[in-house]
Amino acid sequence: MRGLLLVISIIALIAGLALIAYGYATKEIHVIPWGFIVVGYTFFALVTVGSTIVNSLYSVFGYKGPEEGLKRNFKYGTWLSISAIIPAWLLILADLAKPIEGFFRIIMSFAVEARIYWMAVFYAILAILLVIEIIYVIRVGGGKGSMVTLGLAIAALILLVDVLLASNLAQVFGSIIAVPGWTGIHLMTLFLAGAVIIGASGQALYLSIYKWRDKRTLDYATRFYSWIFVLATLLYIFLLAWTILTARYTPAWVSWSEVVRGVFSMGFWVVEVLLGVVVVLVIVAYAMLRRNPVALMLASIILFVVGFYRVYSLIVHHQSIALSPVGDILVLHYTPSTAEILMILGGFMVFIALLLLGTLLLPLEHEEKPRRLWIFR
Amino acid sequence: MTRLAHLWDMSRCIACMACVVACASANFPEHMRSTNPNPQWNWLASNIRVWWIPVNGRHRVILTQCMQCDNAPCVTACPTKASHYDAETGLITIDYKLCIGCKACVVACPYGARWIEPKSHMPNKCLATECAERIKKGLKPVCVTVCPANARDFGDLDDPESSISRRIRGSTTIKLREELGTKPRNVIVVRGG
Repeated sequence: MRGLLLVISIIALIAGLALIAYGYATKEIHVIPWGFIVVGYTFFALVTVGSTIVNSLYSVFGYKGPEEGLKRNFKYGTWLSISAIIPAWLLILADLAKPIEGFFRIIMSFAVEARIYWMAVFYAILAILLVIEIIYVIRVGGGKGSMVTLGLAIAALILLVDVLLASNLAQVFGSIIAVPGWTGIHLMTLFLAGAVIIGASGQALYLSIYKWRDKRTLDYATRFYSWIFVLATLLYIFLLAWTILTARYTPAWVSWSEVVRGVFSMGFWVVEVLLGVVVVLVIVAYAMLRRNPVALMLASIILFVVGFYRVYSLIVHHQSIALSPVGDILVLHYTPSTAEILMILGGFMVFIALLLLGTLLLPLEHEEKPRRLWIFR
Repeated sequence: MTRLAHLWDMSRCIACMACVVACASANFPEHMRSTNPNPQWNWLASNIRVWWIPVNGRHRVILTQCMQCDNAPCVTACPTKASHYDAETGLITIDYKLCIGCKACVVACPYGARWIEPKSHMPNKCLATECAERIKKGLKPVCVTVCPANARDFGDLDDPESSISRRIRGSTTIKLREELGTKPRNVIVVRGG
């Protein structure tokens, strides 16, 4: 069974990479410059950020979770963060005209005023730190004395870079005055709260599926992630409501009004509010009261999908309704092309394949000793 | 350093689109036979963009191009310094050796003055290669040269004797979306002198 899963995950990885490469070769120009590929990139980046923030509850703040579940499953969370950041990079590089040299050109330019420059810097630091962290926890485990301090230092650095990365990613959009719906600080708060929701839902789904027969882990997941879903969802909807309220009588209202009561309102009320808040809170309440892991999985799936829609709405809808140079409202009709859809599909395949590969090959179980890969010996 | 800029006199413009076609044929001749040369604008491969503004049931034409902002968002947003102020002319220029095609400049421009070339996926803007060469030779951009209504001009805003400065002095002019703080140099004449 393990061998079969290994073969499937390698095939899925190759197929995902091939889809991204094919999409890159056949991608087209659209009426909006940043479309579906940028949505996919942002989504995966936020999965990494959210998963790392959830992990930091243990690694930085020492909270072990119910039944010490967060501590016991810490390595799974770290691996999920690494698995998500790779498709994020692949997608954003594939969105460039020159993907091979893109990353290095950005790093070498020292264009410190450009927010995208800092994305490359933060990504490079975060990737190095995440790899260091997973090697550290696999090799050292809990550790003692100075090793504990080292582990805490790595975790604290990761959290710091993580928050800086998410905030800066938000400001890549938030500092663009050409799209009034993006401009300002509110995107940063929405990105951080949204990241926690999708990062936590990714972890909950991952653990619930992989440890379906482990009652202790399921019990932990149901209790821990349900609370995170409730708190993060309430925070997100509060921040979103505040964003919309403060947009009134500013140029941002041009696009926010379309989101709330115009052409995009169906998606907003049905997907973001009804499904992403009301339905999810009912399901999560059921999961908490009945300790029902199936309900938790259902809520996780909904939040993962709604999270993707939220990123799509924030990026695409606000670009679609903008102000022309003469102050007129500009309505652009954008539909993702086949190439873009294939690239996103490829991104998800790479993500799942990496998740599976790590789960099969790495000693991610609590206090599991490394046996297979020399780097951890 | 000179402060070169375009002037478009909307009171003289007859909307014949000669400037738009001249820009396309001079700067992007390889696209003249293409059926969809500029999918982003759904328009010609031209650096001049046409906006049809409804006024009292009719449409008024507004022509825009790169505003050569003194505080340009496209320059600030560029992560590789490919979009920069040319040391010689002071015009905002794209260094295609540095550009990686991230489209940040295209999103950042509040004038919608940049478009993506569909084959190379690289951004384009006024002034393109042919016109930039003309400027270096002391000539005016093609859009200015071909205008049959003398509705266009190009020159140094800091030179009081330049034709553009003289035209500005004798006219009522506006600049687009100055409230954004981009400090656009390009001028639109709304009432001629």
